Amino acid sequence: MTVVRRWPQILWLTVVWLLLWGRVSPTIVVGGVVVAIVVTALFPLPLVPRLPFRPWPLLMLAGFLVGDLFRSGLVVSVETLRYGSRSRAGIVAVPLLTRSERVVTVIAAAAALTPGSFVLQIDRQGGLLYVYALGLRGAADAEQVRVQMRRLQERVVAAMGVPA
Amino acid sequence: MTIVFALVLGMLSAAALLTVTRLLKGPGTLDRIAALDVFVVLIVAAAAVYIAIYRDGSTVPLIAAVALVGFVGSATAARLVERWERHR
Amino acid sequence: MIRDVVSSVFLLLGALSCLLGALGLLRLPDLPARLQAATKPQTLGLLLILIGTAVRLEFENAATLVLVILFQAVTAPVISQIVARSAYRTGTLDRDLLVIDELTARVEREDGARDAGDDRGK
Repeated sequence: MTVVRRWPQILWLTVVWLLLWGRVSPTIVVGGVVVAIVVTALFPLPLVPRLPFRPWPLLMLAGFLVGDLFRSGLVVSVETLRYGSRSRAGIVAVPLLTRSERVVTVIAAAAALTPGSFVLQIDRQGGLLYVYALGLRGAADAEQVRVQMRRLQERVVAAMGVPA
Repeated sequence: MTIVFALVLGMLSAAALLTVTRLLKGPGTLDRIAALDVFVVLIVAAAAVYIAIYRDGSTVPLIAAVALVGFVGSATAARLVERWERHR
Repeated sequence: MIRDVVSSVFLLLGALSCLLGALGLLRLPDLPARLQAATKPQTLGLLLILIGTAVRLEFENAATLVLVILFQAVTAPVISQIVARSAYRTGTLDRDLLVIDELTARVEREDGARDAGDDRGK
């Protein structure tokens, strides 16, 4: 009965099913649950201890990321228009705030939405993220990337992090 | 509204043209993959504008499908390139 | 009427963002920079266009568009991540364009330390 223990996945898949149909009726809900159970049973993901779920910080993180997406769209566009082919970049080492692999995964994905940067390499032993950032001009900009990344990490850890 | 749609489609067409230029120029396979991914996004955007013009929701599932398949395609292609290079 | 105005604003901003993203894809000097253009303005542009479209539709279809928006927001970073990693591993990054490179600096330092160790062993 491991399927029952995977209820969060079943819930998620049902929500996706409902969004696909775009309306709610008893038949659709039951159909969605059945499909979700079949999919979960056929393609089981490894059962791992669940990450803490804190709705309010998670919502704050989502809002922060939407804001980040707007800012990064603007930043990258401005970089393109102002510098174009003369644009420069850098790779900056950022200390990791967590050891949890899954939290690091979320951090790396979230980092790809921050203005002009994404994670190139993760050094787990050294606890470092190597972040590529577009539009770096000097050491001060690198410091700013570190500050930005630390803020992002703090938000992700607040939303789903576990004490290391 | 007609002017808005004309402007929007014009900008998207220009974007598609720029993307195809990058697709042809390369220089690397990964550049081309990135360009193709952008092209798929532009197709989805153009299909969305079509839906907005005619207020015809019947194409909405098509958009969902293209967005999904585009992701799987680009991810697979990038992994494949990595493997090729390693075997060289 | 008000719906038309809202929809127009979103559609126009979205198309502009897509255009700037495509321009970045063409003009920026190397692959990771182009990926930035491919991810950020493109995703933002598509999201704005989808919102602009959803505003004009009845709820049933708008819900599916919300699904597409969520999906795009999750997959776009993953794609750029995968492609950038492939670029880095296959060595197609143009190091001359980097102002600061703490990663290569570290790799070289480690290689240097290993070479020094080998010399001593001889």
